[in-house]
Amino acid sequence: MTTSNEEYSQIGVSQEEKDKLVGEVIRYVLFKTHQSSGCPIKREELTQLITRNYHQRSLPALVINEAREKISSIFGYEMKELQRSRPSSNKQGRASQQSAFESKSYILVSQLPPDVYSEFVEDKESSHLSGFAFVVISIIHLSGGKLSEENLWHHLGRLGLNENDQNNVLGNTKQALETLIQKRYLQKEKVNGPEGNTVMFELAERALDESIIEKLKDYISQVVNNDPAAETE
Amino acid sequence: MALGWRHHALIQTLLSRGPMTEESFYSLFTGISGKNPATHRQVFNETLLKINKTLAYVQFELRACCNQYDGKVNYSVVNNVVDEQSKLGSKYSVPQIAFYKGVIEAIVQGAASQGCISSIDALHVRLESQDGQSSQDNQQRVPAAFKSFTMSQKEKTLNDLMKDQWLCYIPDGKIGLGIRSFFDLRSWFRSNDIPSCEVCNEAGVKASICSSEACNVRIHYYCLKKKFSVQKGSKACPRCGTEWPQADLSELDLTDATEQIQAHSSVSKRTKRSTRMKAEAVEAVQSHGGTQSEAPQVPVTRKRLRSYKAEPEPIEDEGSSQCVAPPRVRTRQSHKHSDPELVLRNEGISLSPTAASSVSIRRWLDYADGINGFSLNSFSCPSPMLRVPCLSPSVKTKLFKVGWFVIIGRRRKCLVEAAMRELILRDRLVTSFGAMKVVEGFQEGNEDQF
Repeated sequence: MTTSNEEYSQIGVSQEEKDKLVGEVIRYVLFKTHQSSGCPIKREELTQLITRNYHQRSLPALVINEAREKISSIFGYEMKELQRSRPSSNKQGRASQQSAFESKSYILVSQLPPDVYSEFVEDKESSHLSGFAFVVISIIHLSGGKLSEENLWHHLGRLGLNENDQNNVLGNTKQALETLIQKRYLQKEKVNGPEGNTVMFELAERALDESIIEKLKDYISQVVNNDPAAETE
Repeated sequence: MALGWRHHALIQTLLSRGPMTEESFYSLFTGISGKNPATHRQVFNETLLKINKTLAYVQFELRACCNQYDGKVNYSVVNNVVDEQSKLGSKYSVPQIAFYKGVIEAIVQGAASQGCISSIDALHVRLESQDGQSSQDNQQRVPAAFKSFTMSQKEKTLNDLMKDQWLCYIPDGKIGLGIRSFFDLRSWFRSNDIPSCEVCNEAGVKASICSSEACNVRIHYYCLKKKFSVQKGSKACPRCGTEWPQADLSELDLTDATEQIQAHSSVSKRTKRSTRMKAEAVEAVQSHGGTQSEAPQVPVTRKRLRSYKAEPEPIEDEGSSQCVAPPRVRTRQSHKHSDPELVLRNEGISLSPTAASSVSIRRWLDYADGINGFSLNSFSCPSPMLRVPCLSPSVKTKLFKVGWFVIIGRRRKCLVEAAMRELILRDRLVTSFGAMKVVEGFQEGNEDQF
């Protein structure tokens, strides 16, 4: 900690000012996460908070790093950094460094052990949303990470989730899907194919995390093991 | 000061699940730490203190707050400072927030400080602009969204607000403030001149008010119970001295006096008793304990109970206005000849502090109906009291059921024990020595008498 204090004083920011900025960043992250129900927060938004009143070039990075440490020590949340992934067809011909820098975003992930989290912290009222997310992500993953909209709706239809239906618990299914896109589990892309435009769904950065993929595979195999119909297919 | 995973689990749970009742929070605490806050008070307090010292960095606080409609304590993590960031923290749109503001204004400004409005009135709340200017002046600011805020949108907003605990549903189709509003709106209550409760200094949204029109003293119903159960002397307004409305006092839980007797060895730190009261309580309990297994020692018991107050003052401050001291009884006698309490007194039966007035009997009759496993009709009571003609047998037996300390014969003892056990469980009283004996006696299997 002493090293960073030196760094702050080098660029002319006092301890109190630094604490105030870090506090503002943490509060911003918490309130925004609540408001958007877990959508990622762009790094630009955080740097804007800092550069509004301070013009030191290295300050935002220092403050954001300290905010990440503090959120972890106060709340037990990890402010996970996500690199925005572009749809696969667009990946050629981009200066990757440039886009990587612009597209960093953050989400809050609990650092508690999973059993503690699911026993105490988890809000059971919203478990339908995680269930839906799991299903959609698994379907797309099993299709190789990419799936056309038509096929996706075909699979969801088998669960009784039709495109324009109003589900009691989930609300409008299409809207629920849009929420997943906003939360960066999925991304949508229009592809010009021979038959005209199709919309392709792909997994986005949040669903591409290694640990998540591993868990996903575990759960899918559990489902398949338990389901006799799946075995015969 | 680093927090461990247990602290984090508590904080994250409150953030994700919202405000929790004390019961849920205690069981969460127990589940996470293995220690029950009710018995490990110090650990609990230290943990919360540590959490709050750390949360202060971001101007948050883990706080407790009373739900004014049921008197239950709730816990939540709240934000203490309004700034640019906190204004983001809402999923509601501008017109929805304006509607919420209109509804809560209507609720707190309602007459008789009952803290509720009917759902019809809520739907008819008009959206004013945030800064309180008249709607004509405000044509330039967000008027379209406000004007076109339809009835069905209002209804949906009301439902969302109730789901998120900003508003709550009260029986009889009324709407009141939700627990989140109580947590977050402290400063708003003050700035809107909502009188605070004289006892706890929180806004008196749902509270009992002084009967004098000139006086705007308010006391929460649960604070009334605490205040007047300890206080000696008449139950008067602390500021203007007017007698506190009888109707509100008689609504108080009759277990107040029970609580007093048993609070002697209570580990609950919430109830404060003077040492003198404790000494008297011990005396009363011991005498009570003594009479259980013997033939009625009515006169002795009566004297002991009346020595509750060292001074020759009315007994009525023992928690409910229903117990009336000798001087008062005489005046009352002239008014209420059919008052069961007086009738019983005339019979020479000593009354427990929970002697009921006719209003409370009705209440206890309703309550007693809910007690399972009692068959009143088959019960016959040879006690002299029960030969009093103006009370029906079922009323008399029910009176015995609800906390009377006069024990006449073994049969009656069983009923009282069962009632006390119900009361104890229901009100979570910590039992004293005497009451424990009562409960044990019941558990020995007297139920088969029924």
